[in-house]
Amino acid sequence: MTSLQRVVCLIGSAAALLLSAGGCTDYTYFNVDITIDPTISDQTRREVGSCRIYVLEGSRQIEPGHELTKLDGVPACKSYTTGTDDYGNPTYEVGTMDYSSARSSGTINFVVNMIEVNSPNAVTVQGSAGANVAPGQVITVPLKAKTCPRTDPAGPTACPDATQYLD
Amino acid sequence: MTRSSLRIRTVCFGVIAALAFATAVPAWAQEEPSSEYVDPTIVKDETPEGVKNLGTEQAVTKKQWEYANPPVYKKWWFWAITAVVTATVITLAVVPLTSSARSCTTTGPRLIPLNCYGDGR
Repeated sequence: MTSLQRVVCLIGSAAALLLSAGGCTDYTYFNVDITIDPTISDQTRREVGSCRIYVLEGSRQIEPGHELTKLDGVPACKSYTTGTDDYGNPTYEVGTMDYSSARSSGTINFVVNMIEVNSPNAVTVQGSAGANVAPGQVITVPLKAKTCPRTDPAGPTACPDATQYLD
Repeated sequence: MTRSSLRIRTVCFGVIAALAFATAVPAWAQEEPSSEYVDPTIVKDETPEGVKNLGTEQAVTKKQWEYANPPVYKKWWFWAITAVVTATVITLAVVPLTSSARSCTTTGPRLIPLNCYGDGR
C-alpha cells in the first residue's frame, strides 16, 4: 500500500465514521389527546383553572412544564369552561398537544396537571400516558385526566406527586 | 441532532483527520529512503575535465535546488486532501444536518389543536 493509498484509506474511514455517527434526524410526532374523565364531578371540572403538561423520557423530565393553550394563545383550561364546548356543555375534551422527539428509541411519557382555580398549588385532576418512540411516525397518545384521591376525607383532592415536576 | 452535538462531532472529525495525518507521515519516512542533497557545483577529483573549468560561464551556472524525495507539502494530493478536510469541517460546522420539525398546524387532524413543543421547534 502506497502512502497516498494509506492516507486516502484513513481519511475515508474517518469520513465513514462521521457519517455513520450522524445520519439524518427523523422525528417522532406524538399527538397527545387530552380528555377529562367523564366521571369527574361538575364542580371539580369547573374549578380547573389551568392545565400544565410535562414531558418525561421514562421517569426523567426532559421538558419544562408548559401551560396548555390553544394555537391563538388562549388558555385551554379556564374555570367553568374546561372541557366544554362553546355553549358551555361538557365535552370533556381539552385538546390535542403535538410533541416532536428527535430520539431514536425510548419511551416518552406525558403528565397533565389540572390546577384548582383558587389554589395555584393544588392539583386536583391529573393524567398521564406514554408511548414508544417510532421515528418517522405520528403516534396518537390518549391521555385521560382523573380526579386525584382525597388524602383527607374532609379536605380537597390532592395528587401526591404533583409538585415533583419542574416548571 | 442538536447544534452542540454537531459542533462536538465536527471537532471529533477534525481530531480524527489530524490523527490520520499524524499516523501517515511516519509511514512515508519508513517507506521511502531519504537521499542527501549533493551540490552540483562542488568540484571533486572524479569530476569530468570539462566541468572543472570554472572560468567559463557555462560551468559556473548553479543548478536550482532539487529534491530527490520532495517533502509531503510539495505533493499535489496533500493539498487536495487538506482542502477536502477543511471544506468538510467548515461545511459541517455551518450547515446543520437536521431539518426542523413540522409546524404545529400541519400534524394530523386535531379537533382542538393546542400549542406544540419538542425537538426541532
